[in-house]
Amino acid sequence: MQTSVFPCYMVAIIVFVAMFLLAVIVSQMISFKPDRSDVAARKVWFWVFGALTLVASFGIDFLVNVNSITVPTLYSKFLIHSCIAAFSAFALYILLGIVISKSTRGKLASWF
Amino acid sequence: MNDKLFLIAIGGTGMRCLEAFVHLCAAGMFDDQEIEILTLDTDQSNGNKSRVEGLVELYNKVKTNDSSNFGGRPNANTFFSAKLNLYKFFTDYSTPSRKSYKVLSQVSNISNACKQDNEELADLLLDPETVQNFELDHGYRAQTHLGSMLMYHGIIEAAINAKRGGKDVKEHEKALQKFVQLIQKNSGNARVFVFGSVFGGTGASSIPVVPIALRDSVSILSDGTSSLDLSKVKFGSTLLTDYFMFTAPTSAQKSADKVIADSNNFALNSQAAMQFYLGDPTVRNFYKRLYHIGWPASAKLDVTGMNSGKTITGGREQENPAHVVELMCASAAYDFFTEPIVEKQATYLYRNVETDDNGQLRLTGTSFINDGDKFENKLGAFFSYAHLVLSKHQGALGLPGNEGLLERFADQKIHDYDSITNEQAKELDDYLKMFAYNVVNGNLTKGWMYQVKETVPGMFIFNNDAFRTGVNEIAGIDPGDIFTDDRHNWDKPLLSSRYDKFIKGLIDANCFPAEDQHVETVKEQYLAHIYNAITMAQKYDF
Repeated sequence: MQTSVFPCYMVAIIVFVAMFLLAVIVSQMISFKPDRSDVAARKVWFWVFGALTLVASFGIDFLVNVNSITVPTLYSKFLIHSCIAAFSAFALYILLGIVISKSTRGKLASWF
Repeated sequence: MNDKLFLIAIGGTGMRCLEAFVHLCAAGMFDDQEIEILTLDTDQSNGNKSRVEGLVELYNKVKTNDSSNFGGRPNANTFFSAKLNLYKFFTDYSTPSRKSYKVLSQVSNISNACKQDNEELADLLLDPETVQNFELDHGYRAQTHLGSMLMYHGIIEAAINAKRGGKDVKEHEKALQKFVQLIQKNSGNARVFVFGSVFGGTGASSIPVVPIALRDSVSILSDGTSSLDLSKVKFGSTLLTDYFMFTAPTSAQKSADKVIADSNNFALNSQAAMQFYLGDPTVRNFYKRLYHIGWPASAKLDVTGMNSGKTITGGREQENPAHVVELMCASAAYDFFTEPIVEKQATYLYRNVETDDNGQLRLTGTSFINDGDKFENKLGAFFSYAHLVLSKHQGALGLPGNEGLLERFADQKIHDYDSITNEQAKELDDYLKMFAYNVVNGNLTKGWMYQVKETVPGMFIFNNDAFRTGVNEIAGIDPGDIFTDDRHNWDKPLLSSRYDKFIKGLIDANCFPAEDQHVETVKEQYLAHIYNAITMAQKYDF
């Protein structure tokens, strides 16, 4: 029986990377517009993928790693670590977003 | 090029040629140059004079960063690269004692016999009922035999007054003094180009006498200790023959005004003038290059409608729209200022332009200057910039054009130009509106470029879509799609727009101002950045 919570964090990392890449790709695909409506659009999509990072991390982790656990103590432990992993992924997503936005020029600079 | 450049714009046509020249300066045709400009007219309220002086002042505002650097400094490979210094002069005929030749020529303290001799001599050359009595404040009205004499007199009189000094010296006399003294200071390497027509009044009167008037003014201002060596100063001029017409004056108007220009005589005036310029030894000795510029008689611009259907003699109401021949004159000035000049006597130059199979004109860059690619690149870049601001950022529709473009820089974390104020951005917008177009009360007001295009029966360098005139169509103009040769239009990505690619490209290191552009102030750096981005997108291979 697996007792290590590492898989929870693995899932969170994979989801974080995927969502962040999607955020970058979608932001680059949004064209510059003279009325600057693209700035708001990129911010919106950044936060959408941020929210998805949180939800998807927890959701996938729960379905894959947590839901099948029958031992109550292990279930609680995995549940807690799933939550920690999801929020950590979200925090990392925001942090990386800020760093890239502040240090780069171009479309990604719109995020913050 | 080390020669010092001077420009003299004379009369209404001269002013419109100067307008075209200023727009070429804005497009960046005169890199690293500081150009001294004298506006010279008899008619201080002339609409074209006011318009071009306002344009030069706006140009200088665009180049000025703060009170310590009025007019900026010369730059290279950027917009507004030349520095322009303006001197305004006019011959004053506004007071009762100067209103006509008759009263102006009155001399006191001479004997009656002498007075009679003067009158008889004048009557021999100048009709006593009409020519000697018409009011001079709207110009010489195509009476060049009178105008040449009076223009020379006006310049010499101003030099004498300026030399006398004191509080009675008028501003326009001081301006002339400064201009003349600058020519004297740089006489070893001065190039002086004169804009004016040969079929009208003021320009036609003044072109022959300008070199001598300047020489004699130098002598007066220096008490005879200095002189202007006219063999060293290089003079050039346009010989612009008739290209517009207007309704012939009515009998009532002729009777009231005594002398009034009639465009039916312009062709004859032009012919007579050309014979003079070909044969006169003074002109042939002092002018090194004379650029003969003409326009097909069948395509003359009728300016009657623009003046409420009546013949305007001058004043504020005389404000004719721009014409492509004036751009040709400005291009002649470019040739004179940039090409080596080795002639000892006058050389007469002209340029042929292409027509298509239907006989329609086909004007390209080489129709104007030898380096046609440079002309198209620079004028095209400035035109694209105008569309970017006026159309894409809706500067022509009342929205902040350049201010919006500056926000695009800030969005991409390019904060180099954050210190440009909204007022400074608006000055740039105002200039671009004068260059291209504006929308006022829901109607398109055509600026210089659009007016020029309207006068060309055929192709004028750029594709017709670049000159859309419907107010609802303005927003659809693509600043990156103005050339007929698609190689020079901006690349269009598959999934986005040219605008998107252009704004994305602003972060490219090659777009940032380079050292050889000699730009110092933030505004100059901003203009250089835009210039670099646009000219890169146009892919001209120099």
